[in-house]
Amino acid sequence: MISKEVPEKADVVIIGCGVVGCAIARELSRYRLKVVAIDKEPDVGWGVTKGNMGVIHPFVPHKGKYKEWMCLEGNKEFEKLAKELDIPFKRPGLLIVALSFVQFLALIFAYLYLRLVKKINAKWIWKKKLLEMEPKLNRKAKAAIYVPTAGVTDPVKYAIALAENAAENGVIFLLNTQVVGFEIENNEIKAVVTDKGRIETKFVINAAGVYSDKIEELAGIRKRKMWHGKGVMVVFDQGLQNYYNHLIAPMPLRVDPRTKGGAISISPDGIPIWGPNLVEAKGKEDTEVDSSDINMIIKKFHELLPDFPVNAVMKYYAGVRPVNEDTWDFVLGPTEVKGFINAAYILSPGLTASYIIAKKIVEILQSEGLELVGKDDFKEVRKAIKGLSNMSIDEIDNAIRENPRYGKVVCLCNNVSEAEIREAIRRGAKTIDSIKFRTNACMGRCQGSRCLPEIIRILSEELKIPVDKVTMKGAGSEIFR
Amino acid sequence: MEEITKELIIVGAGLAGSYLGIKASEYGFDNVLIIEREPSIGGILRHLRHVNITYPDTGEEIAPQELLMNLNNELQSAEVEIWKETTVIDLQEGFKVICVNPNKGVTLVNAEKVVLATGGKEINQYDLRIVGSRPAGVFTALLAIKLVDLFNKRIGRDVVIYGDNELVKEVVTRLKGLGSNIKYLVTDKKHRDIRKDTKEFIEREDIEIIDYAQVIRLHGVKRLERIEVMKNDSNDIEEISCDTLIISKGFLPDLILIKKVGAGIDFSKLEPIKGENLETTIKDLFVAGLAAERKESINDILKSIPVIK
Repeated sequence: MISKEVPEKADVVIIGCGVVGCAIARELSRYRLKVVAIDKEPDVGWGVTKGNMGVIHPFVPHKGKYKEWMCLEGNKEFEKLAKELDIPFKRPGLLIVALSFVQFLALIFAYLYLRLVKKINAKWIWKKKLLEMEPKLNRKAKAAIYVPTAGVTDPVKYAIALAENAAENGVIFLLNTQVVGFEIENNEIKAVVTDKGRIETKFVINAAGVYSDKIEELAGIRKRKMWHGKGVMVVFDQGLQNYYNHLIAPMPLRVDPRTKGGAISISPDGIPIWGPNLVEAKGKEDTEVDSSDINMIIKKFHELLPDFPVNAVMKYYAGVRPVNEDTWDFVLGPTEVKGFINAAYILSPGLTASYIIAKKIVEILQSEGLELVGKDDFKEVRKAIKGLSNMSIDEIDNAIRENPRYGKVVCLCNNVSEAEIREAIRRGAKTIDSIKFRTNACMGRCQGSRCLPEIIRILSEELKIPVDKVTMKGAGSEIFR
Repeated sequence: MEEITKELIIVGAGLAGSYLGIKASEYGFDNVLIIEREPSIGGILRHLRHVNITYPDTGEEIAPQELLMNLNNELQSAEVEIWKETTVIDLQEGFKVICVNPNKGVTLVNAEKVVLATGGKEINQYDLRIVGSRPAGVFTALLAIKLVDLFNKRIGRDVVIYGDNELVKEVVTRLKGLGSNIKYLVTDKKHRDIRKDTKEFIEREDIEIIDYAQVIRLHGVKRLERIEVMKNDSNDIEEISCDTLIISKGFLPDLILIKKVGAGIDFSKLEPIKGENLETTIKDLFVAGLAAERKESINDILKSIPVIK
């Protein structure tokens, strides 16, 4: 997937390989174009994407220009995306629950608002049915709004799938590559300058996540103020898989225009994830977790599932979202520099909206003068790595006979075989974290304490590098020193 | 795919599984199978050089490599069948044990009784709610030992150890041998309550002990840069610069197969629900060793061995 050579020319250069940049890359790969996608990290999806909880939102009421409709439309794309790209995706549905009488009153209004004003397919669920749907819910629950379209995916796997498919269709990915400037003549983009070389182009897409303000600045575009909103997620023990089956949120009494307030969620394979909260980050790379974040999240949601063993925390992590403080909406479209197009300041529900954003950006490119000629040989299907956890017993038996490395289990928590880890490396993983995100190795309850040595050995062997050069997440994060 | 039937399956040929295999043949089982994922038996024993283990039958302390040899010999003379390089990937009630091996593919083993001696997961920074960033350079003790044994490379320059179980000895000897500077040992115990052997060893090695304190926070984006340590009595926080933190606070039971088969889990302790003879909530399913309960000390592994009749 990864190219080393910086091409001299491109029709479009995409800056940032998160879900948005990768979705644009994939959408553009349908056409006869030379597309280059750049990211400063060693892998795709390591910025805002990595810190996303994975919820495919059913709706986001918002007055802005894009968020609300793009969320609704984007939500509908995911069956097709999951089928074409072979990514984990489920629709557990969302339950907005009223525990108190005041919440119950608010719930009635919210229900009417969603049904009549927003035309959302929301269902009213009374207590009896609610407790059948979610038996471990607090018995004080009075009623709930059920929104069946709420879904969950794995954001990094989605970015990887988009990128792999885009690469197969000809997009060039330049990772570990930083944009340092632009060549602009007569207020028109002429070239992108990176630390690895210069690429002549007429079109630049700014999909740089929390760095989208810096990229605008490099092009001399008037500065918008970016606010960095940090969200912490708490992941619970694998033993609690399938403890509950829906996304669950308390009926909010005060609507915060900035945030939907997080939820009790699950990973696509049913591992509980709670969060995120919203606090101000100290900077773009501030993904530090505080005890107060963990406590805040647990306190907020525990009442919904009072018997849930909140001490059984498996891990916690944080993400930073880029916020355009004026609108709290996405910034999409052309700028005062011709050819410089923003897909920037993408905050929640950016994951849900990602594919609609991509389609919109392609439309904008066309109206800005990019000629789009479809390819006859576009391959829309991409296959995930075949693994022990997604094969039947007979398939596993056959797989081992074809490749004995399927019979060697490296990660015991998630049943990941050596064959899968080697395949991940062949598909572009160069670091331990890249293997984690592709295979789920090290993502279970032992957090890699049992499989790390084996993964280091395999990485060193496949990449033909000494073990000292094996890193957790790129240069500076070596294991040995 | 092959399908066979056994009376008793022991999953894991570590210290507990191997010992139990020998006992099982003494109890009169003649159709026992131990399934081990590694190419050799012994589990954690394979990585111990300095920690002696108390043998329950005699009460004697035995050097780890000698104990490993004894276990190997006794298993052989008892003719206990062991499948190595074979991993159990699923367990279903009844019991159906599904395992994989690179040469044999999938085998389905039907068994009357199953003992899970799958070991534990080391207590890590998340279990201890150490917050802050998530840099490289934070290792659990056994992981650190395995990395050094496997690659013979230094895992860090300035090291702080958190915890005081026996593995500290193994870690310190290996790391010092490769030129690491062990700055401190932090423990939440008071000085007088620290394990005697560890305390003597640490003092002999001239490592400063910060007692009655906890590591609470990590700093550093790519690699660990410093940690925050809080004293339990004063709540004073001290920052210590280091590129490596080794957590040596013991093990929690591995719950993966317990969850798959649907046996009860006590989430307040993160242990399987078990009776006095280490029987789980499923009839004829037992747990042994580190897979049975939370243990700080390796020497307690052989205290959790069920009697299977």
